[in-house]
Amino acid sequence: MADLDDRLEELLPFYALDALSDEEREQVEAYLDANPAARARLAEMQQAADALPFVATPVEPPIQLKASLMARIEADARVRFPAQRESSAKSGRLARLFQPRASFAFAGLCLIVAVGALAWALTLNTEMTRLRDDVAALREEVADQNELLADIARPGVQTMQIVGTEIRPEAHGNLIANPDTESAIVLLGGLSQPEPGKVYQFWLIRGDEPVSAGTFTVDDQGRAALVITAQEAIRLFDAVGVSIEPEGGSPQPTGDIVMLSTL
Amino acid sequence: MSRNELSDEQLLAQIAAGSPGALEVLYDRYAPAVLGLALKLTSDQVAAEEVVQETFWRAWRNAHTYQTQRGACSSWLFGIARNLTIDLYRRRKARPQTLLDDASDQRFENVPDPDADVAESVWTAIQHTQVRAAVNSLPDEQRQVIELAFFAGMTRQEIAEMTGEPLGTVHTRARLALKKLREALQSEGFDG
Repeated sequence: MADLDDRLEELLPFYALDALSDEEREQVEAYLDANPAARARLAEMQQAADALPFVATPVEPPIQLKASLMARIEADARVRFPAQRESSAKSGRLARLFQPRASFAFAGLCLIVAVGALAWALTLNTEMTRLRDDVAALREEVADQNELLADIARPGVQTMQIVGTEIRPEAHGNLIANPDTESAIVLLGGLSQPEPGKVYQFWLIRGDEPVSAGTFTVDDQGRAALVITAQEAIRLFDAVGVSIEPEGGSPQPTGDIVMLSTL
Repeated sequence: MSRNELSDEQLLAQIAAGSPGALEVLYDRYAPAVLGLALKLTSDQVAAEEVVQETFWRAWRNAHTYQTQRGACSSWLFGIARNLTIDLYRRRKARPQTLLDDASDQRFENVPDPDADVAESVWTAIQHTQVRAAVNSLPDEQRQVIELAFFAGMTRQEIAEMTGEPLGTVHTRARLALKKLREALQSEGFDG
């Protein structure tokens, strides 16, 4: 029995790497079902294995790939989930009810359609203007994004770790900057959602003097990405910190300090 | 709350209920990473795009089978993509690429996604750097076992045969590699 357990333990890394035969996988799963300690060991291995896909550099797929996939999915949705299309089917049946009526009714219908088409054209025009604005905004965003990514790769850029205080030990992050410049990218994680009416505030600290670098919230995974700009070069600051403050921020830290690190 | 703000799990629940819109958001979120992975495994743009399309098709058809307790949605998607690639190569009786060389990545231009926000892109870039650094910090013989098992889909027996090492050594290297990788990721501050 002990021999069997040893053999199954040896398979755990390959289970995490998804490199077992079906038969081996079933044996390991039966072993895991009866062995919570083995499940805990596997969970640790799995954390490492789950990161492996991130070795690959993300590559933007061609637009037509998405278009072709979505067309296939829309077609499948019409067949498998017809209930979701009922409203359009119903309106079609409703329209057919009017068809055999008197000719003046038909003419009236044509008029309604013409007015509707005109309204639709106007709506389309408005929509097109809105889309043009969206495209312009997106282009600007992509340019910002490229600039930001280029900043990370620039010579002289250093990454400094930011750690959580005992109030929030799981908080962590990096400040990425060329210390001779005034701006930095800050990536934070492990933060919980602040209570309603509260926000996080980022501080650059010189001696005993904290200088606000802005307030922020976190996403549903407790992460935030900030671009901060100081009045002076980053190298002149001794430390950075994050505190919890009332919405709108404070001139000085007043709430719990959740992150603090010397630079 | 817009769909873009929904968690992966919430999107999968909507996909399982028949929402193509939710699938589109999931695609925008993960298709670049899935294509990157498939390109690393295949070095073949056409095959990699085929893998991306099939991965999200299967996500659409099988969203109801996803179980949160069995891992993150991203791992589920990457698992589908990886298995599809390995199956593809088994059919062609060839092996996917295994080396973690930068050159293979740089052959494909990384075009910024206009739908992605800056924060997400920066996070992805940082995650990529952190994981690559962590994997590169492993001793060569341990890294090789992981590459052959995960990226080339080889069994432990095949790895032992290929490397000329006893099976027990392959087991030990795999265990140590995952342990060290986890520690390295933690010290890198990886938050995948």
